Amino acid sequence: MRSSPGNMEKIVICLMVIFSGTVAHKSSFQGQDRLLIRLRQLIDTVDQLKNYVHDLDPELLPAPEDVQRHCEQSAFSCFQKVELKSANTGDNENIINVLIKQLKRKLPPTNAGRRQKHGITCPTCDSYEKKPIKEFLERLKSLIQKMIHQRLS
Amino acid sequence: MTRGNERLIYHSGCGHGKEDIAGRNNTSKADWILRVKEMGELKMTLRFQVWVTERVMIPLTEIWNTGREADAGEDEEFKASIVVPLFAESTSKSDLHTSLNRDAAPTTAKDFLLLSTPPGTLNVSTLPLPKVQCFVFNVEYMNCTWNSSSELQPTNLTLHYWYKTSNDDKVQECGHYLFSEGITSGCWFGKEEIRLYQTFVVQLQDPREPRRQDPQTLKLQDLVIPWAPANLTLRTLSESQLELSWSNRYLDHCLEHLVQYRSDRDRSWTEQSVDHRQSFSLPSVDAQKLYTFRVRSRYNPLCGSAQRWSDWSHPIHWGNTSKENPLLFALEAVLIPLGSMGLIVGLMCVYCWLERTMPRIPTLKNLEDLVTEYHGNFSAWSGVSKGLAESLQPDYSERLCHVSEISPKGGALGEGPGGSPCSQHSPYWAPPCYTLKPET
Repeated sequence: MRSSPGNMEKIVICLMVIFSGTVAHKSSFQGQDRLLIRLRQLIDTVDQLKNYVHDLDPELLPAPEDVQRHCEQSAFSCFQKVELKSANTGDNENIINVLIKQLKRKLPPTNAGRRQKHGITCPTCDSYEKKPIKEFLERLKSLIQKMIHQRLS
Repeated sequence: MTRGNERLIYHSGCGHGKEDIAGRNNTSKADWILRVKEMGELKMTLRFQVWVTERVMIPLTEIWNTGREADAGEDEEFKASIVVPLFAESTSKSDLHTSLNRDAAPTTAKDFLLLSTPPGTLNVSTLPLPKVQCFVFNVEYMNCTWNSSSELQPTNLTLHYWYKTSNDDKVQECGHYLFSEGITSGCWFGKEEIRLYQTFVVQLQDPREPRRQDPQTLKLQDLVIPWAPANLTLRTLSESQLELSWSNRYLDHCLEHLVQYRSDRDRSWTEQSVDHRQSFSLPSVDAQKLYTFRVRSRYNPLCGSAQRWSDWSHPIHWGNTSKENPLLFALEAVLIPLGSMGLIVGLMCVYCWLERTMPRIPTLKNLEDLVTEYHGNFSAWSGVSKGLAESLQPDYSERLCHVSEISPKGGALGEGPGGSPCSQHSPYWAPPCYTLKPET
């Protein structure tokens, strides 16, 4: 069926409104909040994981500390890459797996992220000291706190 | 050749100690057991030096209640001595064993000779240096302090620090010492010297003795203490809802807060944790009470894991400030019950009086009693008291006026000159004649 020219105009206007709505959603203001929100969630995740230290596989894991400036994102991804497993204790296994998954989620991108790529070269994950799980989680929490502080100031 | 136990009791005013040293059969070993008890507040540091061919230092931890073997070759003189630091002398509270057994004859290398060195040896290298405690005050400055009075002799300890980095660590000495009683007891760091997110290492040193403390590692982000919140303001959101808000100097979003409030009638504070938002709302308040609010903050958990809270803010008050007059309250509390009770009692009295004076209306059920019991005595049956019955009897005498019919010739009926107060009767009825006499 043919649509009249008046109808076509209305459809086009509607589509444009919807399109601009979706584009506006991705403003940079939102992006900054998203990272902060995610970092805050991660502090909670790490705190909860600390309660389950005894249920995790006791391994030595690379735990960056005293990270150089602008290498925080890379150090954080080193924390994320580790093999964290629960050591089969039934009830807690589900919770632990959920927490580990939350830890491994990719961080929302920021403008600063691009800067790292062609700036300082950050140390590789292998170059960092390996520590037991408890110390690993403490250092991870410290790094997240540093990132939050940088974000807020 | 075996030898029996040799006892050497060391005397230097150091404390209560005795050693049992036993020699063994044909062995070149010397075992000894030292049991030393700490008495009172004495801090004992003991070091054993056993010379065989060379000095052997035995760490303190191995000594208590245990033995230690040391080999002595043939023809070697085996000496064991106990060196006690001089400071022990002044602080010891123990009693002393005085016998220094020099009677033990020196023997061949298989046996051993025990000597004690005179108590002049000042050997304090094993005494640990005090621990340093650091706090960062609102990221404006930092104070690192230690207990300088724990040292036996007043010593100006020096502090060195560095931040752990991946390349080289630059060791620096404290630029601004804090003093107490003339000796160094702390160090002040300015804002530029504070790096919160790098591992901070401090080390105390005694300049006279090269003994060093184990460097202490600290995470400064866990040692931040913010200033107390200020500018507390209260706002009424609705009729009974209050909102408290405050401000912090710097570090707003990194802090968590604790609000405490109570009214003048509560005995203890009510607490409420608040996250980084600097406001707290109380849903229902009683306008008749006087409320007090106070807040404190902590650098936790977003930017650091500090345990210490800041000081409390200045309290803020809200509500009815005038105190109720206790006298008025007591008066009210007494008068109202008394008054109402009096009223009730009065009403009851009135009721009783009325009952006495006013006759009860007899019920019809009792009508037959009138005949059977009271034999027609109406006033007795009705329960009217004698006095009342008497009073109802008229006590006046009235002269009855006779009214007689006027002859029809005289005039119209009813309009005759009988306008007297006597009652008028119909023409065909003549009232009976009687006089009333008052009862005697």
